[in-house]
Amino acid sequence: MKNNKGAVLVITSILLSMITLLAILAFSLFYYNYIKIDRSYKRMRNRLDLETIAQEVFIQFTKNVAGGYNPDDVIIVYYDDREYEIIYNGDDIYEYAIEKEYRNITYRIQVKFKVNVISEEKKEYLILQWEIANA
Amino acid sequence: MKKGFTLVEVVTALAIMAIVGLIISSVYISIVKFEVSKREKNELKSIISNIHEIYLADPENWQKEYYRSYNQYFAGPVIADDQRLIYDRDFSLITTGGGSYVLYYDYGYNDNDEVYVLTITKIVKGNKELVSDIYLGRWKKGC
Repeated sequence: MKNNKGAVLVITSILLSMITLLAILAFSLFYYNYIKIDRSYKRMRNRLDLETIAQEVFIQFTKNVAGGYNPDDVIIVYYDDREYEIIYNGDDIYEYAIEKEYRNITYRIQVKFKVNVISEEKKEYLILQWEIANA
Repeated sequence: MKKGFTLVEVVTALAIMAIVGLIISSVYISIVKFEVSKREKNELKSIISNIHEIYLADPENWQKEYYRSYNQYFAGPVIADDQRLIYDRDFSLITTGGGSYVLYYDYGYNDNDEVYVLTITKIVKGNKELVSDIYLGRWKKGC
């Protein structure tokens, strides 16, 4: 009988390599998918960080600035050792933007709000725009 | 002529089968683990985003609004002291029972600054802590 051990060995090794390759491929695909979800989760965390800064800047404005200021000025709000500029747009409308960079992506939040002065003590704040880019 | 396999051939075949089985099972286990983790992360992301969105819209009544939006059977008031949200294994918000996932939060009103403060302190699955300390910021009522 002809010896076919060599052929069996070749076929077995090919099959084994294919199975290993398939397994690695399947695993890589799932891992890639997982990384994608993980990145989108981190993006969400960054967006939340940015939004909480925007919230804080807004609160600092209502707390410290809204009492007496010159509407023609650029209003500076301090939070967490950083300065944030709030620009007066006229008609009691104010605007500010906050940026944060993470892994070469710049997250940006644009906020526009209106202050309705009801009385000296009472003011009404109305958010007109709360727009987040790249998040 | 002698028929059948020799002991070496049988042992070699068994070894090959064992190696292949090991590769397949380890990949399968890893894939299942990744799949669960992926699903959890995705769901947690949605839950946190939804809570934040509702909180910004109405910081005073966000709990009630959240229940109203995500629990179809919700009819009663929210117990203010019970600062946790319970989800079943499919991440549906439930009002009773143990649940698979529990979200603990810290929520209160700051009289001095007249703002609400909300922090998701942790989200747990059994004894395992999935996420912790997600600060959702201070926010004013009626903005």
